[in-house]
Amino acid sequence: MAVVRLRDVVKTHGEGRAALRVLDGLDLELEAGELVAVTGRSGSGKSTLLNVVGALDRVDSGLVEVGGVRIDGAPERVLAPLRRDRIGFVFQAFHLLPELTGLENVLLPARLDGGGPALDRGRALVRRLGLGDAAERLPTVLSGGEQQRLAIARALVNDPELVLADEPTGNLDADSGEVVLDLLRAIADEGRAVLLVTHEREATRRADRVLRLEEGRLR
Amino acid sequence: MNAILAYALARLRVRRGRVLLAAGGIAAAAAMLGASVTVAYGLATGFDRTAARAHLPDILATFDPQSRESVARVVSSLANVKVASYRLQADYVSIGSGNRFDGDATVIGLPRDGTRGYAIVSGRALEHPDEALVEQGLARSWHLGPGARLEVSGERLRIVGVAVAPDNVAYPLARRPRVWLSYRDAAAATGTPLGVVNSAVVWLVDPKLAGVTLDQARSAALGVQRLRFTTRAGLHVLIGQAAGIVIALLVSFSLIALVVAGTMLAASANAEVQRRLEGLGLLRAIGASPRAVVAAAVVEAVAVALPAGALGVLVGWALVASPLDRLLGSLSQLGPGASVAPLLLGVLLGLVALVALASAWPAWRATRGPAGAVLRRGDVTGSARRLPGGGGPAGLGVRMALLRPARTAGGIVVLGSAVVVILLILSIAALLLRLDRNPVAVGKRYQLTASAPAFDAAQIARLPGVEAAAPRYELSAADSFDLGEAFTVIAFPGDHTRFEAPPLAEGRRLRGPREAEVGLGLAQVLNLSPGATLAAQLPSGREARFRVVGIVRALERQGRVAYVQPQQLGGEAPEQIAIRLRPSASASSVRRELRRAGVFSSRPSHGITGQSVQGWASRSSGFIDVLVALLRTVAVIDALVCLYAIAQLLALTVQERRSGLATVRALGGGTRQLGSIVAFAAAPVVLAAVVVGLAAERWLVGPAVARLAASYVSLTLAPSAAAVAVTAAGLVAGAAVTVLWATRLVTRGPVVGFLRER
Repeated sequence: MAVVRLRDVVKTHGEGRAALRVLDGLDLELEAGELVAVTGRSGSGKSTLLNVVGALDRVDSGLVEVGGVRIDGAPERVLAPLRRDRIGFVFQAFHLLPELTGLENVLLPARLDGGGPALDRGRALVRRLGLGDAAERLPTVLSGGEQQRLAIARALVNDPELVLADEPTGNLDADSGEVVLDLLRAIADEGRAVLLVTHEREATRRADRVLRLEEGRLR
Repeated sequence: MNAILAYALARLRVRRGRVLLAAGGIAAAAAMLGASVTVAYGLATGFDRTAARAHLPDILATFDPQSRESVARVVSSLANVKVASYRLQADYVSIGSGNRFDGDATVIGLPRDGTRGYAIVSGRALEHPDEALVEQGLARSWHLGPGARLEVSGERLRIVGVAVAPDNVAYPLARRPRVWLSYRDAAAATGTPLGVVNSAVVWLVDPKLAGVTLDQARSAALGVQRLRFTTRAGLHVLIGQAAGIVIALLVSFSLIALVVAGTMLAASANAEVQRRLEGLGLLRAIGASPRAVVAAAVVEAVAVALPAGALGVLVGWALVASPLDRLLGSLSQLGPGASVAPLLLGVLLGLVALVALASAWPAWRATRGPAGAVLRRGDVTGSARRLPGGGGPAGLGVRMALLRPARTAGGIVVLGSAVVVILLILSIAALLLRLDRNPVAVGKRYQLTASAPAFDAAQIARLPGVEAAAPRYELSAADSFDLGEAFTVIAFPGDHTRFEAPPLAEGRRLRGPREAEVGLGLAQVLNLSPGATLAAQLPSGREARFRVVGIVRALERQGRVAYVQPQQLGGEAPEQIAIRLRPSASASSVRRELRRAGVFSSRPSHGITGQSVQGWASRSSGFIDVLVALLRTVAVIDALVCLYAIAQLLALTVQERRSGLATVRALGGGTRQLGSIVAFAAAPVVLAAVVVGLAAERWLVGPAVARLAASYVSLTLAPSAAAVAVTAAGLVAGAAVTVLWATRLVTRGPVVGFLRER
């Protein structure tokens, strides 16, 4: 069964004469264990696609289903637990909270629902990603690579079935980027669906499928 | 420059929500200021304003009835007299209207000489026989007005006007309602022969020389019986003293309100500019001059502060204007009307200037450094140190607050100050109600009096429910040195503080029969201090001399009292027994016991009445109720200011950390989790404000305000547990409302909208 299913999705930015249809009848299916890379020009709608799949943005029309749950038009009380438990999001800008240490950032999604076994999983992830030192420090004193690995650990802490990564290497040097891409590949190999938005050729080499977003559709 | 100003105004149009929030806060603070300034001004100037409108005489003399000619002869011999008028004034006159009746009214017969001494608030002055003017207090109590009928000593008169005369408080605060009639009608109503008067009112050429004129009058009036002078200045002192406690408290409150509102407005305006530092940095980056940047901030601030402040001042004035008029009416004084307008305008201008300055300061500072640094200052870059609090939503909220220590401290100061004001007002209101309902609060420690001979005290003391009983002597006396000044002598055998213990202001308690404690009012009038001699002329004409050993803050009779031991009174005073009840006893059950005690019923001339000493207070209930309502109105306004301060603080935090909060949403945080973060961002400020405010009121502001009002009475302005609970609960409830509002701000709309702003 597909983890992600999009049918005839339309999403417009702006209004009136400035309106721009960034997704225009888009279809997509993503299976568990599959890493799909989406490429395209700047402004082609790659991030919008990821936001729609990640329940961060709403569509104008069409069907969006994640893990068998239809989310287009679903209320916030349905979307919030879905984002917390079934989707992991890795942002280009990391979005680590400056008030929390590295480890606290990783464990935050688990603590949003009271904690439990996810807390142990988070600590294990931090060790596995070699972030022992970074875990106790605040994000502002960490390198870009460390911050992004913490962000990936945070995305995995609730053991989601879908991981979305928006230009995860865009702010990293080449070496750090390699490490992050290897991690995403490993995540897919563990049986999760990974949707990766990128414009870097290096990133597409690790993908099972590479789709190009043009004129609002995936080709 | 024009482009920059246009940009500032455009920002206002686009950011309507924020503008409305800022305007709401300014309006709330302005309302608080408008209300407190109106009240303080109205009370502080009430006597002078009314005296001027009423053409209050400089000297009022009362005496036993004399022929008008003989009195005029004495007055005409005095220097410094501009105009004099001779009147007939009688107490214990019966009046009635409809089903209402009072047998203890004061009637004043006026000659047709055009002089006044009262201000007409509705209707007109007396012009014809069979017309009456009634005092405003009576008109309000009995619902009378021009055109109504009033019976005076059985004669039906037509009321043609309602007046106030500030030489006494109004009915029913004063025991006797006042009615002005033509001289002929008054003489007829009191059975006085025509041509006889018993009072003279005098206007002086130079009121500052009233003392000299009085000395001259005393010499010229030798032989005139029961001559008593009252001066306009003396009335001012007495009435001022009666209202002094209220005025002192409200003026103190106004000062505190001014500080709170000023601090809050400055903090709020500062926060507004901090919020748009990024925009200011952008202006700098595109080449705007520092002057233009500061001007943009000031224009934006003034454009919001001026209309919002004007509205707030107007609302504050409107909220208190009516209760203030009623309060002043109780004191026979006129409301401030339009005379307060220049002061309110000044308040508004000051408020706008404060907001403008508070906005200009951070904007000016923003123009000092490099434009890039200002651009970056809009972001929270995070602290290099770890902050307390856990890593969950609650801990995150606490850390968000602590990450801005200056703002958090400012919020605590502003909210804490508001808490102080609220607690202070509630304490004052509670104190006033205590004064109204419980005479013990003003130094009286007995609950009943009984007319009985002194030797019955021991027997009464043994009755069930009675803790102590002692003879109490009270008589009127005049100062032998200055016969115009009358006062009341109160005596208990032994230690009077067991029954009446007005707080000691100066000196010590009396210890022997030749010593006296005098009330502050008497001390001020006769210029007495510990060590001075009080020479009391008793009703029999005998003189008793006492050495003043203490000054007490007695409320009764405006403090014109002297406490002594009874030996020197020589049995002149009518006897009564003061009865102090056990804490668990009820007055009614003790009254029953007193009636059952046959020994008293055998002496009808000394019948037990069991009069409650609370009677004096019942007349002041309306006055106190109005005052308490007024204070509570101001407290509600202050609570609204509190609410705004919390909202402003949270809005600022939410705005600044919108990206972080959006990240939490992206990670799966729902309304509950976001609400928890916002709540715990507010919690340190609110909790600390309650603690700081409580401590400051208890140990700093309360005692300071109590000292300000200490010329009249000793006050305990420590907040009660109930007041603390109400304030804390109100603050928490207000915080909860603003948390819900702020949570809604961050949870509405798609998450990506906030994330993108980063």
